Amino acid sequence: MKNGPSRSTFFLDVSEFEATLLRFINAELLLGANLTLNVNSALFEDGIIDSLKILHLLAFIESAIGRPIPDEEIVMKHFRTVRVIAERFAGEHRLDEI
Amino acid sequence: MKSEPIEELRRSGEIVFTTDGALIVSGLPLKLLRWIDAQLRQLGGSLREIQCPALIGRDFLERANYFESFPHGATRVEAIRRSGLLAPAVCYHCFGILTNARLNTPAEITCIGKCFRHENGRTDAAGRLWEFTMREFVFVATSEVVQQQRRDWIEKIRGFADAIGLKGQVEIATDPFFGNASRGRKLLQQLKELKYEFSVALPDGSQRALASFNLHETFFTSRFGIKLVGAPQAHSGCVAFGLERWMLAILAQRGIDESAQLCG
Repeated sequence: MKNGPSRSTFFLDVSEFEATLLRFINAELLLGANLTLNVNSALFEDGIIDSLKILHLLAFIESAIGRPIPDEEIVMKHFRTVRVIAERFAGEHRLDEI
Repeated sequence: MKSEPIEELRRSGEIVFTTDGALIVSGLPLKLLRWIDAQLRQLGGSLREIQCPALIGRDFLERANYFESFPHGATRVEAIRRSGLLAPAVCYHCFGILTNARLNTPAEITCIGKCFRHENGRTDAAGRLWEFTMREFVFVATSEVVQQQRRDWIEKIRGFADAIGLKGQVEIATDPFFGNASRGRKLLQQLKELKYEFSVALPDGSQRALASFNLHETFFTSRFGIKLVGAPQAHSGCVAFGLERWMLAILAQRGIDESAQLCG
């Protein structure tokens, strides 16, 4: 992962986190895949995200929100699309910060 | 789940747990075992049925990446100048006979056979056995159809359990269908909801799976060269039942008299 956020970066804005996450996925995870996703693309259909990429994705999100994500939170309702991930995790972080 | 009915049947000799992790049944337990299988077959409708051998070719399991997922899971048998493996699941045989098939219509097969899983030598009276009987329903179709078939089976089994008074629940499985080799694979399986299980509670509060409902996506069809005419990629899925576990769970929850009435 070349462009992960630093520990001091806070994505308090959902749309900012959404854009950052989308850039990471398209530039890093889908590098060479001849495919560009948008915020509403299904991430886990057609093998877009494989078992290695999911670990990269989790590391990126964990770094962004500043906490590890327990395995039991890694379910489809939180990870279906970039928008869903951003709303779940950036929103949670923002609430924590208030 | 109570243990008294099982203990009573052990005392009468109708259930014998062998020291090496197998089960000998007669009388009511045997009748119940056969009745459960007949009910499951009826739920599946009229399908092509395969009676699977205990032995399975190493090439099948290698082709299915079995050893990568479960390096020590298969049981090896030895004879003079020969060695072989015992099947850890019966659906491998189905994919074996479908190898390089070009299907004009979706395939749905049911299969039964003895399976062998050596889980670090752990066996118990709730049905964790080295040798057990597995009934499976295997489907090859489009992704949407396979997913629908799994949903249908989950509802059928919920209904069947309700009808026979067996308390349990269907939940996403935490143990991986494709092995425990990496966190990434396990999380991906969990996230994509590839495996559900129907489980019952044991006396110690833990859960014991009686059935699993699995989506394989293109894992097996790609490895065994199975194609479906008109579909970009054939998907597969299976529903698997451990018959001894069902029999023990029904006896434990319903008791001897009510179990006898069920299969009478």
